[in-house]
Amino acid sequence: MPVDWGQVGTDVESAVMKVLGSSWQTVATGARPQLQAMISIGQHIETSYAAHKLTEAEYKSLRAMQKRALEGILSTYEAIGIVVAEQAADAAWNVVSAALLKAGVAFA
Amino acid sequence: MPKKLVLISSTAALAAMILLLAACAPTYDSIADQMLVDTQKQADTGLIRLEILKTRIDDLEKSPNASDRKDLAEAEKQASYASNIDFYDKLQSSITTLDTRMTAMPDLSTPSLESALGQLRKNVDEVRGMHQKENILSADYAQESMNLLDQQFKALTVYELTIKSGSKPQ
Repeated sequence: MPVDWGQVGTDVESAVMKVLGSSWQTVATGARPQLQAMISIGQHIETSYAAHKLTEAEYKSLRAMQKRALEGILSTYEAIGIVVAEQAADAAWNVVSAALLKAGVAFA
Repeated sequence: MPKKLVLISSTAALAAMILLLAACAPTYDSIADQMLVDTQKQADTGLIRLEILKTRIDDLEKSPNASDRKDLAEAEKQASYASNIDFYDKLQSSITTLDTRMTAMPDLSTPSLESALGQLRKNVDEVRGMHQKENILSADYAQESMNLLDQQFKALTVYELTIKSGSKPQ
């Protein structure tokens, strides 16, 4: 089953909003396109992996990098504390992992 | 205590608090801004080069011409980890310098910036570790790792541009 990346984007934003609470309103203008850019990169990574253009080790490395990058991006907002940024990145990644598992990606 | 004295004390305390917060507000640093641009350029240049080299290697591997063997060996040498140690050393050094510059004057944004720069450093370490392990990175890995690092640089650039415009970081 292919991953519905449009739905993943919506679900990731909802998950991040839930963790950030009222802070989301403060950062939404800047953070929303950044989240969507991260989802787009995630989609490219999955496409490359499915096309055997990445080794298993490279795929795992990029997925680890994605989570760190998102945490780093959210950390740049003063309205978001460091711990909350980490929790929001975790929440976003749980959504992506669940979507990949549903799609049958082996290393989700 | 007379009401008037209480009012004066409260006003003075409020003024001191406002001054303290103003002192803690981040100020634009053109040098940090330029270092950020230079460091991103450094990362992008190195990773694009690796992507191009691997694409060339893949093409040369398919070539039936014996004369392409020498070019293939040369491209493999240039794409190897050993040939790129200097790139990683310089990039890591630039990020350390950038971190020092951006967090030198502690203010309200310092913990956030330290965290963001820490994640950037970890991701550069990740690419370096993967290159060391695989010796030659795939073209897609070089491209996607650059895209991820660019998003991190972009977030820091947005921060710099926000304070440059005189706005308070969000």
